[in-house]
Amino acid sequence: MKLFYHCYGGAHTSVTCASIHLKYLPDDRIPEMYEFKAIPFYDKMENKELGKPVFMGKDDMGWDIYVVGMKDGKNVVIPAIKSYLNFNGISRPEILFVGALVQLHPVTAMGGIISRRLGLPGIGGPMTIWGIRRSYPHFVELVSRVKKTILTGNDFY
Amino acid sequence: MKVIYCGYRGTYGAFLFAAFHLGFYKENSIPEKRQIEKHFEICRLYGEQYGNLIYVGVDEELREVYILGCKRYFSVVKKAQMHINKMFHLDDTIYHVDVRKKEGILPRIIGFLLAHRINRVICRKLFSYWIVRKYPCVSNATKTVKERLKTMDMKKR
Repeated sequence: MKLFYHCYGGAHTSVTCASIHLKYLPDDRIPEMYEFKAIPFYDKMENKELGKPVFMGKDDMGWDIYVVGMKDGKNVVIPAIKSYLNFNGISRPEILFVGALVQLHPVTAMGGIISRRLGLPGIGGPMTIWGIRRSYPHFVELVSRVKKTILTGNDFY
Repeated sequence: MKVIYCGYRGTYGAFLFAAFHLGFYKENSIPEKRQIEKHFEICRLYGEQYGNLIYVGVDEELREVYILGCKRYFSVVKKAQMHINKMFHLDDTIYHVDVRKKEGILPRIIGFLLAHRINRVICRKLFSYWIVRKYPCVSNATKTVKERLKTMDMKKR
């Protein structure tokens, strides 16, 4: 079973959700700046790598957790992946897509653009963390909902 | 091997390429009015199916030919499908062909007009104009694609 957290660039919010899911980040408090910086792949995804799922780890239920950047094309990319798998005889319940762009703080979005598109991670990176810390409870809630309903196989567009 | 022709919409340029590839359309003779109208009906009915892989047929070398509408996310879709292929250990090569430049802007305009239910007769006339205009260039481009595929097969053997 594979679970994909997806967002625009696959560098910040999806990585945060995957990290909460895999317990790299705590779910009972808001993590410090250095804890974000210690996450593998945080603020690392290059633009040319968009679409490539990155393996983050295996959770305690045995699911493989991935992050993937899809720009704003989730309505095209997700059906393209699913229909491709369908043609290859792989059934729908084996994969689950979760949209990680919940309650995105505008500062996170700006930080993401500055860091990944303008190539200034020194300025954009801390901005994304600042924004994510503000909306951190929403990410925790999303992940707990995903964990609760993981067996139903519903998608979280 | 799977050959996937990707256009902005899945049915205009992508289907034209696939039709040449599979020999539905002949190189030197522009299709009859009836055939153009059938192609137009396919575009009208399935033009908005973004991200859904549509199977068209098998060519003489037993390659499966598909069409896909991927808006402006060709590179993301391509990367996603390639990596999913590896991730699920699917022993099949995929070859993506981006037809968006060759098909031009007219299919997007026709699709927009059809989606907004603007006079179908005008759309059909525009479509006929487009297909006649694009016919020679798409015919040549498909030949190049087939040659490239042959070279790839030779190298593999």
